[in-house]
Amino acid sequence: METHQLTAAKITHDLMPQPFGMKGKIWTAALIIICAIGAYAYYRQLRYGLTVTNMGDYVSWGIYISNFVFFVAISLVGSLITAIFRLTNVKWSTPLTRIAEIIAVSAIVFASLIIIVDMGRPERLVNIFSHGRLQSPIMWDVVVISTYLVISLLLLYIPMLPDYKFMIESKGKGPKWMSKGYKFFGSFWKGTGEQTRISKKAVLILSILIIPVAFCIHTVTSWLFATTYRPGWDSTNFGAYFVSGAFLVGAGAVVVAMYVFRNAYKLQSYITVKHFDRMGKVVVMLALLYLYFNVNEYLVPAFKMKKHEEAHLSNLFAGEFAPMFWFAILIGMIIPILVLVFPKGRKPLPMFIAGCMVVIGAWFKRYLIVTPTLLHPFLPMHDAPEKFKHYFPSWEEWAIAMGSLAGALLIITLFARIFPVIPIHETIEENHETAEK
Amino acid sequence: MKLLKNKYWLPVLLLLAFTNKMIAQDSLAHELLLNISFYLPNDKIPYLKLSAKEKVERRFIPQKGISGSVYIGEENEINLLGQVNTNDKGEAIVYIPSSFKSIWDSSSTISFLVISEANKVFQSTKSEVQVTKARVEIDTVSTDGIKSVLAKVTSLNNGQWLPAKDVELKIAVRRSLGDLPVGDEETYTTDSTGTVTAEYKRDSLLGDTKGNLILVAKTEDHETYGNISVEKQVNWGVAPKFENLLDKRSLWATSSKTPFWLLGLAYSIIGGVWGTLIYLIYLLLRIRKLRKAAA
Amino acid sequence: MVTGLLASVAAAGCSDKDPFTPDTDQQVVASGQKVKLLSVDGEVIEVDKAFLKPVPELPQVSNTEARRGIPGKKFVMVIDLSRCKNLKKCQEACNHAHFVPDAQNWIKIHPMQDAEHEAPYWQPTTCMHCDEPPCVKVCPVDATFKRQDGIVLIDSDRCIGCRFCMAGCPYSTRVFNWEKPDLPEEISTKHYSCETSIPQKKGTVGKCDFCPDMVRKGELPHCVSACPNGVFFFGDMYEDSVSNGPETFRFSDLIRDKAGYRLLEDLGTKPSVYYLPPVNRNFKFEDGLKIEEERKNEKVK
Repeated sequence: METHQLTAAKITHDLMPQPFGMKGKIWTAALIIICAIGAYAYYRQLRYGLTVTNMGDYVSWGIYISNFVFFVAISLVGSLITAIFRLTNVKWSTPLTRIAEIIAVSAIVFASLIIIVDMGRPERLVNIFSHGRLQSPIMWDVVVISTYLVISLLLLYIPMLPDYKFMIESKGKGPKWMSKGYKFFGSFWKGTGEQTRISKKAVLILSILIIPVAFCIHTVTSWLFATTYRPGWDSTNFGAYFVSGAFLVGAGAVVVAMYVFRNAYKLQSYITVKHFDRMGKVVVMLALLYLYFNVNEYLVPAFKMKKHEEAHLSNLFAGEFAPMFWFAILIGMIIPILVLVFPKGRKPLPMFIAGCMVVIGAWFKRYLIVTPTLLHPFLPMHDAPEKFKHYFPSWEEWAIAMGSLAGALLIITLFARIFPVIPIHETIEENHETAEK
Repeated sequence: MKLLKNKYWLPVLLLLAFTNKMIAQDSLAHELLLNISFYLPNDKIPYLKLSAKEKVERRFIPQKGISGSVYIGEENEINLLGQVNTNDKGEAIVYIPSSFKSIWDSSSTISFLVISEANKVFQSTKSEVQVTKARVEIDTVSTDGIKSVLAKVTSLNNGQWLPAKDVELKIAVRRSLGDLPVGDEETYTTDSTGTVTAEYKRDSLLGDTKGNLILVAKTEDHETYGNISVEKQVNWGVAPKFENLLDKRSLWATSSKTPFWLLGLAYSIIGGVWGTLIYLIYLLLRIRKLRKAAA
Repeated sequence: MVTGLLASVAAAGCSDKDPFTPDTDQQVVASGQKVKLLSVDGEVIEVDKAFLKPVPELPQVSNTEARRGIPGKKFVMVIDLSRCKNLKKCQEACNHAHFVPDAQNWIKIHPMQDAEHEAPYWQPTTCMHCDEPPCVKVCPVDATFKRQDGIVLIDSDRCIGCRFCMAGCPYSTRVFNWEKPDLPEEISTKHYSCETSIPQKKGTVGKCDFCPDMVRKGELPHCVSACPNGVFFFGDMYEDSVSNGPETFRFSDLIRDKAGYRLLEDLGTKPSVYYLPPVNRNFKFEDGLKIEEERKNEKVK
């Protein structure tokens, strides 16, 4: 209903990036501070070695890796919202495509950074290119992540080309370097029929291409674990399990971003209640799918209780990790499903809370995938320091992990400051279409 | 003041001073375990081996840099065979120079003495060994498909080489990290004729490229004869055919030996996807080119 | 006769020659100075002085050579569990010889009891040098590699510290240098060799290396020589013989007769370390616990 009253001019005005208000400035400053603390913690790690973390010879992968998996998972949202919805002609998702893409890009960038942080010898990163072994799943991950980054950047940039016209025209409203940047990146777009045709073709190809690559990226990341023998990781289910989880957390992240942008930039006419309603249904479906894979992943080995899996599973269900395990399942899947199944639960505010729960539950889920398995090796934990037999991240690890999350949020925030988060051109087009109907 | 008034203060003080020194010396009392053994590989030059160790807790630690003087017979300058320092493993070797021919020929039993120089840790230590000259020979016998090794020990007695009985021998095949006994028994003892036969039970053992093996018969620190040994090459082995593990392509091989299926799969996927991306960049550049066209 | 004696004198001062590899790197150059020595018959022999000196330390093996390994050999280890009392002399010797940092042990002696009614025993665990090594499969930069002699080594100059190999190893035998190892000056400045694994470097992985530097000299690995009970046997599968120093056995017979087995066989890693079952022990498992206590108290001090 509201869209009828919108003219092109109004749409342009509403969706143009605005300077930060008080809240925006505080938010950005807080993120920068968290990043700075993370950077200092990393400096300490570079100086003293990974001993500043609480990782040991048994728990040799900690929250850096679980954060990495979390980031890769979130980055799949780009392919979901942008590509899959585009290809299936879903029109209502148009306002959400750019949000999804920027979340995808910033998540992938920080996935790469956090992996470098986890390396014992980051200065030797070039060895991957000079002495790389194609047999190693890490090589596959490097290839797929770089490919996905390029595709996501293209999928962010090409659909944004028509919007540059509006951004260039609105000069005087922002700092000079911004308008210079706009001109450099988008002044060649004239909106001619030919250009539009090529651009649509490019976006179509990208949308088709990104789907298998997105599936690959999280499947290959899951193979970092599934190609080992350890209980909890030695599962044929891992690829599908991870991909379904990735779609869920990505959708949850988009819901959170939808709500924040909607309120911060007063975009109620564009991200409507109907959008929340529909996204809510998507989240329910994805959560049910993920729950299905979780049941497969845990119930089946628990039925057999093989010797080496017994300790690990009991630990998860009823032992040291039980509170976290059940928390992740309840908060990450079950409660959101229960809330969102009802129309009243799909209103913006309950959606936002459910989205936050999905994301937080997902973060703990990734932690549960990495650490408990490492505490149940095949041979006894013996002839090693006591502290190696437990794991709780040190302040440096927390600082760096939080710093990476803050960094990702910072990229998203700064993006919203510079570029319109909702595609202006497409919104105007669709508005005309619905008006004509 | 009260202390000095005590008439015993001087002896007590002296006693205290000496006790301190004694206690200090006790803590420095290290015992050097010095050993000298005689080695005579058959038809080769005999030599003496020194070994210097210290027992710490329950381990024997080799002592490096112990200086030992080796004498043939009594401790006497003319009897000095040589002065050597032990190496990292606590061992040193001394040969018998030709100038000692007369002493060497004088009797069939010779004694050797080593005296180590005192140093900061150890006091001077002595060790002796008495050796009767002896030699061991081996021969191989192959009857009815059963292979045997015949070993004979003779010792020098008044200028005559007589059979030596009840000598424990190890009869083995030489391997790079040890000597593998030819049969089930660890040692073989010579009878009254000084001989012993060992059945060779090591069939199909890999030898060198021609199938040669080296048989070895030796005594280990015999109280009279020291360490005598003999080697003999025999063609009882099998010529090896080695397959180099590194020639095959596998998932655990080096990057240049990636399995073909993986190479094919990976490069076709990467080629397909990146080919498409390059095409997309090309499309983008085409859009850019069209900026001059009329709107 | 004289040439034969000359050659044999060179051998007298050298370590045991390997019957398989040609005599390339043990050629000693005659110095021209002669010495007169006695043979057992009292014959006087003239020998060049150069032949009497022990063969100097073999030159450091190059990285390429270290990656290839010793041709024509396949090293195996046999650990006799019926002899292990948890004395930990192997661990001490290994840690000492390789300057292993304090918190690490490349050999771990695990108290094992496979099930409630089964025998408790002490199990020394080294790197298995698997024939299908999961660690080598996952290394992205070829920093850990398998050689033609079966030994799996780590190149600490190439390792990027991703620790994927540690996740992949089911025997949990790899350790990581979380901080800069506390080494004496002359060791930390030594030129690194994959075969000695010295000096260990911060941010890289370490593990048992089957002491290829010792094996090249014809000597047994440190753990094998250090064990007072002769628990470890080491040898070449092609030569079919393993030795713990004093005792040498035919490998195939030993495994067949004493029912040797390998750890986690069903994972398909094909380890190179065989275990002989802990039967007919003349000591109690609990005796080994006393040493654990002693160790704990020592550490507390």
